Amino acid sequence: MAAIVLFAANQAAQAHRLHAGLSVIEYGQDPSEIQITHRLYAHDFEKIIYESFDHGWDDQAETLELIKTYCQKRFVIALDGKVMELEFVGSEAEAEYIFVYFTLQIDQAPKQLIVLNALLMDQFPEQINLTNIRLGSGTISATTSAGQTTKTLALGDG
Amino acid sequence: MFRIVALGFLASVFANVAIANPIQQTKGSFEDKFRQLEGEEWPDVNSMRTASGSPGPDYWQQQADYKIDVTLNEAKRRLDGIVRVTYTNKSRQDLPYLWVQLDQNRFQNGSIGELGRAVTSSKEVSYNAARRALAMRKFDGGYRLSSVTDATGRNLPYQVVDTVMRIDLPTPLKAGAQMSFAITYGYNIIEERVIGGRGGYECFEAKNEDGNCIFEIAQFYPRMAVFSDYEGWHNKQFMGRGEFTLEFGKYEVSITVPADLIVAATGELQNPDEVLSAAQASRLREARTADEPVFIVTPSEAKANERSVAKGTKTWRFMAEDVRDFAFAASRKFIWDAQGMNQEIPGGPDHVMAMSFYPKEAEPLWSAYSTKSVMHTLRVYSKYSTPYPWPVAISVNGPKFGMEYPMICFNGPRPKKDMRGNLSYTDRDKYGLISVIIHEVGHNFFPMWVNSDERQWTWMDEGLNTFMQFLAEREWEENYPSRRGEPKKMAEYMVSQNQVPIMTNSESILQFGNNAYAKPATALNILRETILGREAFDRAFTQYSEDWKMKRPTPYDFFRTMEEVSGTDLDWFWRGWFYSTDHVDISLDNISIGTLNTADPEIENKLARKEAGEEPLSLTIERNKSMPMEVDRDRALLDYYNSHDKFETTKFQKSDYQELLKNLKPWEREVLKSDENYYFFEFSNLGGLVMPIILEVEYKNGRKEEFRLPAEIWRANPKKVTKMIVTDREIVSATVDPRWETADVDVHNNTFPRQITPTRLEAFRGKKPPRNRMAEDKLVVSEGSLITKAEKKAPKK
Repeated sequence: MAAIVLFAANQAAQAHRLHAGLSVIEYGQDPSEIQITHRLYAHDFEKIIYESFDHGWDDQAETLELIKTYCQKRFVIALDGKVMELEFVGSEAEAEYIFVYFTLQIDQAPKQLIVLNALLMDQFPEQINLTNIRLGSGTISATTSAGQTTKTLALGDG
Repeated sequence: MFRIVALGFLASVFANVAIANPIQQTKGSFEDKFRQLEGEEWPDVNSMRTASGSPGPDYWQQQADYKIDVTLNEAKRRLDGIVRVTYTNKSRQDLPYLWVQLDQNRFQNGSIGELGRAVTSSKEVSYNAARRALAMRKFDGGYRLSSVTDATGRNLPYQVVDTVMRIDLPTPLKAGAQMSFAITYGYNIIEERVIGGRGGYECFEAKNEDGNCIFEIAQFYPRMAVFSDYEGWHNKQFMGRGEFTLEFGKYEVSITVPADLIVAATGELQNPDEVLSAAQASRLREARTADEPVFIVTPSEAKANERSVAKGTKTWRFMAEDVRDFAFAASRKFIWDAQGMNQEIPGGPDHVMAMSFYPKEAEPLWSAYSTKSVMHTLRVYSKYSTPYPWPVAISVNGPKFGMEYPMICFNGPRPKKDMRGNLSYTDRDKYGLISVIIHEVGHNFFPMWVNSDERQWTWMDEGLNTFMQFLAEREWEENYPSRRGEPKKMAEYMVSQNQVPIMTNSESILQFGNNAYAKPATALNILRETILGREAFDRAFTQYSEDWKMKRPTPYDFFRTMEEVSGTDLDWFWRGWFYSTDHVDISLDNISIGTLNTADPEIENKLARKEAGEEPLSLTIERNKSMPMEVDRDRALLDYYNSHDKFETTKFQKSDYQELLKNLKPWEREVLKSDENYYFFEFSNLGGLVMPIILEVEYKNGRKEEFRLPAEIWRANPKKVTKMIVTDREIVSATVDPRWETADVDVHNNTFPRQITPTRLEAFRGKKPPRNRMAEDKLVVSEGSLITKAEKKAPKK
């Protein structure tokens, strides 16, 4: 199928040029649990919610279902080559941010991580996402943007 | 309908790019984090920009005065007009040509901005993206220029290069000389929420809506490009992202609109009696001295206005002096309120009119909060920077979420109606509105008045303004939910690996929101609260604002001024926060305790006995307890050493001690007598950024004490330091940065002994966040009032 080339959404000019997501992948206090936290600008993320409902973020079941499905489709991780299913924990709003939480149970510490972080890139071609990963020693980061939504990272010994 | 296909994996290799670092030596591992910037990173000073950071005796900038006549064609959503520019060449060189900005050309289908748009994926497209693409196919955007003529009406040759044009002059414009030219032009206005720009129109055409539109009109005339001492002509193309720097001048603007539209604009309205009803003009006068905002156009007048379309037109005339731009908004829907305020700080006009224009859909939040937020912003910013310089300050509600122009800004937030028509708002709606108004009104100071170059250095207007916004929010109410500025909110971004320093050109910045807004705002907040203290910081910041108002500062002017006025060498701070991507992570690795050896055998032997007694019993001794020993079997084996206590003081020790005392100087004897505890705190700097160490120790009696160790403690070794603290009390624990004031990214290693800190997700699990509390309590508000009432019940089936 030929690629459909289309210009993207209503984003370009803003005095508030946000379009930046920050996700964290880290161990919880129990090392068999990996926790994923997405921090997205409410002003940007609520566009997704407004497309389906007549309101912005709230913690009602149908809104959370939409947030969950949206994030699961646009944020995917594979550990040692295997795509993992992320379990939705919840979402909260704080000042200008929306936070979305997922967890994942693991048997052994992964050696390699592939992360696809395309959150909000469907809305804003300028969106740049940063994923901080703390699964080995220290923090490593993956920056993803339109054109390169996926990064592969060796985690080393942790 | 577009099929959304799951995104596939594309494996790629991720690599950290090492950047050459001037403070890192090639021999050895020492890094000079305190190395001076003057003469290396900073440009040489000259007679235009001095070493103290203030404008020099030869400072100059160009002047552009405008006379603009435009007509808004509501039906065609089009603007036509003529702009007459008087340009004064205050530079030291003759100019053979002039550059003019044609920002509307960005919306031509062939513009660099349009053709240069990439998409995220070849497999999917959002509804919004598809909608915009379809709209752009039909939209005839960009300026149409009918004529470009000199003062005598002769055509001037020109060349349009995408979003800028060069006008070639018959003879060069001499240094110090002035010339005029005129451009007749027109363009179609974009639908803001479909195409996306810095202004445009929004129409209320859904079911049950009145069909009227709000026009927010900006960058609507050919504007003089900047000619500066450090860059020459600023003729970079406009692609939508980079903002502006412009020349100051005087604006006389006539805006012709359908007779029943209400217009808000930069500057003072010159003919209120011609465009307003007698009652409205009288209310406008009354508002000047009112104690509360006064409706100039009341909600009921606005509603009546919406119901019909008047015939004919009216021309609104505005005048503005010492501004770098002009914008306006117009709508039949506008409610207009205003309140005059006296400026307490001398230096600006004595009196300012704070005003708001909004549709009924923005109510009741806007009449309650907009004008008061405008006034609050002017008060706080004037106090910390320089007095507000103009006679009006306006906040308009329309399609733009937030965009600033001199004296006027466009702000988007509105309360929401649910399916049943119940009106309520969340605390986020309320604070979001106040915050965006503070931010956009705040831009009047940076960069509209202190005219920094936001296309080059975004942080100079967004960072400084976000910092000031934080101050204003914190003076609105005690626990204001501030968006940025609190250091702890910055930590996760600071620790990430792929960053660029704040001192990066606007177009090359990754993660704009964090890099150009939040990080500099946080850095300045830390500089104020933790490094310099409020008094020194505020004095220096005011000096910078006063020196550079109505002038064009560079980052170096800011850095130099802050150091000169505060009397503090801050090169390490600028290096760490503005020139590097280091983060703050100071670890308290260990605390060890010592007491001074008194050399007195009576004391030291007792201590040794106590320590020996505290040692755990050896396993061998314990298990051998019931075993007969050789010395028990044969008592002759026992001698002096078996009967003598090894911790008993011997005669020799006593005389030796007396001998020692005799030879000591009096001050040495004093030291020996002290019975203080000596605590050694070992720190390591894991993040790289050198910062003061804020150390809180807790004593055995539960009391706490804070020690603030300056960043200079890292001079000799930026990676590891040990600090000694002497006290007669017993320390049980210690914490680095207990109040999270330094943006330390890992607070887990800040405590000794270590404590477990829950992750954000774990903290979330432990709480139930509230959502729209007003709606949960089944309460609603009305357009006219913030007073809550019980909501309408759903009809029974």
